[in-house]
Amino acid sequence: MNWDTIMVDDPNNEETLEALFKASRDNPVEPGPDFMARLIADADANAPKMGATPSPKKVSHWARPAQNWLAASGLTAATVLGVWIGILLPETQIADIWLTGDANEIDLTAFLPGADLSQFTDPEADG
Amino acid sequence: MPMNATSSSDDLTPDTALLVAVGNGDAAAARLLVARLSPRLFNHAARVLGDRTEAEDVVQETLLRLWKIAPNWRQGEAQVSTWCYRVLVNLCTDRLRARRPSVDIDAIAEPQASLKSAVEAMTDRARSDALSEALSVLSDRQRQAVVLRHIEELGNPEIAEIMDISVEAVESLVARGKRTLTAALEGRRDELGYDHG
Repeated sequence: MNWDTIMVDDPNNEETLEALFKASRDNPVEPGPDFMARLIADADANAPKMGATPSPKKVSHWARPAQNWLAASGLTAATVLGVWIGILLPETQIADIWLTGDANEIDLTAFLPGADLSQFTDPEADG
Repeated sequence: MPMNATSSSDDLTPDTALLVAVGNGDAAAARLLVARLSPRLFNHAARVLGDRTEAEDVVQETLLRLWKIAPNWRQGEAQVSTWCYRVLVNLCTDRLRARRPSVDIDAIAEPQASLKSAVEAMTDRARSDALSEALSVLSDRQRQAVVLRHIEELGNPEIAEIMDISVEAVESLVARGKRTLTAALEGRRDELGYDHG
């Protein structure tokens, strides 16, 4: 059978086929509700997994005291520093720093008694 | 073909944006993509495979693969629907190959008269069923191309991308498929209750 020569370009057959195609387009084979529910369940099960950020690594039981100690020591250091600043700086000077941002007049040796801070001075500013 | 999207505002979000959201763990976006894509994919698979259960399997597998690739989806690379069709077509082809041997085309009776009057007398549902049966005599690739072109109404360039062939090859597959379909319908006129007019 020569399929290339049968009914080629027959307008009647072209029309007929188009009528069948149109009928198929107008009557799609639709998925059933159970199947759609399965697809939705798949979607719900898979999408959150993809977006899950890696959970923080759990600290093993033996390392917890060290972790707690590090946290506590950091908090303690910050507290001590705050108290130290409060004692050494007069109240008005702290207010100047916060309100004007002008820290040039502060004597930094108050924070670090005995330290040589000359290397941090700005030579251009002096001369 | 109408989509079953959940709301009109969601209809405006492109598939690609939804897929990116799925990649970020948005299950609602995944549900919306299911509603948009699965009816079309299922219709194609059911027409090509002629079996609802097998059609369900390949559509489900296609969407599972889509969820898997979602986190790595690169925008602008392909349309989501095109990607899905490509996966679906390959899965359908695998199923059809496993069913061999298929219908012997040369065993179909020669056409003897015009189909036009017979088809005109049929209801839409009967026409649709007749076409589904006639599709089974096409080669796998002809069937996929004809369904994508004339039932899914995709353009030849998109079909070429889905089937990984040239546009000319698509045109040839569709043309030959239509000839074979016409002959098959003529050959089955008595079985389908056609009027011999």
